[in-house]
Amino acid sequence: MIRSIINSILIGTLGGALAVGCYLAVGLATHRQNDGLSRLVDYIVLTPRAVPGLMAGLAVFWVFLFVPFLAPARSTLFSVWFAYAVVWLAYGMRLIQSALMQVGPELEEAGRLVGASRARVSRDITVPLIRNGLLGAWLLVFMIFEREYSTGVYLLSPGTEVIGAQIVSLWASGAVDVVAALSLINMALVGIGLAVALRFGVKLHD
Amino acid sequence: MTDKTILSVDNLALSYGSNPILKGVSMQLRRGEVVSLLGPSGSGKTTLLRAVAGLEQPHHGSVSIAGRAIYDAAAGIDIPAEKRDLGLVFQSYALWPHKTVFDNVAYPLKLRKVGQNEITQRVHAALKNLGLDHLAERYPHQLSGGQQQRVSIARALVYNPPVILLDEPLSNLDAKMREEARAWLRNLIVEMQLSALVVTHDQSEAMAMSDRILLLNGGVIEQQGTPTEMYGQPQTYFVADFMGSNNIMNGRIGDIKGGEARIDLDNGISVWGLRRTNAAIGHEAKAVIRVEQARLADAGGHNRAELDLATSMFLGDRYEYVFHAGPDLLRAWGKGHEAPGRRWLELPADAVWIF
Repeated sequence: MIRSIINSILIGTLGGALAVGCYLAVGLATHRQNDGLSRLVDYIVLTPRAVPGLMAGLAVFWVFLFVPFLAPARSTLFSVWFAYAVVWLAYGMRLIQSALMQVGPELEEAGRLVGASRARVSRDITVPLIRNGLLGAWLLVFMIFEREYSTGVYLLSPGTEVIGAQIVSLWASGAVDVVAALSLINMALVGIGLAVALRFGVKLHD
Repeated sequence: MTDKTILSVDNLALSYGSNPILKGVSMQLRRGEVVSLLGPSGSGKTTLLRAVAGLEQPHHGSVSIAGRAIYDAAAGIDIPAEKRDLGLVFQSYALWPHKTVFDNVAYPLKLRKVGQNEITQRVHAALKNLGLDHLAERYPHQLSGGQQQRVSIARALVYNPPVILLDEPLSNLDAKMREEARAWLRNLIVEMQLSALVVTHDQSEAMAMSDRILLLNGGVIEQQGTPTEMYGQPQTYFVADFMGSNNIMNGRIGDIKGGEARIDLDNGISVWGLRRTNAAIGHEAKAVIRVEQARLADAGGHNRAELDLATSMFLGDRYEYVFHAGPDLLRAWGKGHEAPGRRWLELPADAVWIF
């Protein structure tokens, strides 16, 4: 029970941040690139959301089952995180891209002109400017990961339970009081995440 | 190409999709010279500047800086913007809002791996040069428009680029400041012996700031020359119309005598002027005269017409007279107030161009 709470916290905070980092990497790679590949990526990132989370989870389960070097990671929290990150890729990318689009193109061009490569411009100009957008993206991804369970159904094993899955199985066994307690804890965790994000400058309104 | 040429653009062509923006533009910028790219919106002037900077992708022609090719379609050379070592002042200034004035100006030097002490020294020297030394620790949003512009110039100059490109540098300032900034900028460029390429849509700004003007129209250079040539000897109707405040009247060629022609205007006036068209007698043409060249006269005579003066407008340093001539309104400038009524207006033959 405690383990499921810790797992949920880990996957929400660290996993959420890691996922935002991955989305950011994809976002920067295609940022203001108008070639065919970038446009293809824009569509490809939508596909994981085109199937139910349960099926996407199953697909990830198979990947971890049949790709040899991934097999040892199948029963770790990494596989759960991987499934979450893939399934919510479409949402995450939208968040990142809308933040990136708000950076004036001339701010990046000015960086190029004074001698910075694309990578340097991303590191020194683009990313610092979308810091708040990234925090906002993390907050949303954190809240999703914190309560998500259906995607991970096939991947959950002893040791990698999350609160959501725990609640479902406890409900089936009739332990309503524990379900209520876990739900409260889950809500409290989301509240703490929100407070942290607000503390670091995320604005929910003007 | 002489060794004084610092920037050379040869037959550069660029399209957005199937829409041609530049249709083969060639130009040279000499060391220590200020050249303006002038033209209406959509003429390709900003696109040309951005293509030189490496921010737009041409498909034909070549660009070289101090003899080094930075773009050559035929040879497959396309140096990325960050390796071209040019300075660009953006229309919006494009200062990085998360960096202080000092850090904004220091960034180009940091990228060039200049030592920390030298950075401090060079940034302060650059800021001092532009009268910004006391603002080093401020953030861009704490500065006025004029100060932001100066920071942007300091950032573009701090690494001593061979050519500085300015994109509508004055258009974000209010009208009064613009005139002061114009004089200040021209003085700075001359004092520091910079070679500058300036984009502007304002002909008086172009004339005041530059040694040479390139007037672009629809992706080609319509005419280039010194400000006096551009203003005083326009070769086409477009140039005449663009470069000043004009009276423009339509009519037909009535007579031709060598380099002069008589035009019989639709408003009933006939005037002699300099012939700038090959149109034969009887063909349609336009007469153009600068507003400051038309003047009141006491009595009838050559190239004079008696017209209705509708009103005199006080403009501070002069009066503007508005005449009715058939369907046209003609304007002229003078010193004193004139009551409405019939007046003689002279359109001197050497100041009328017939296109």
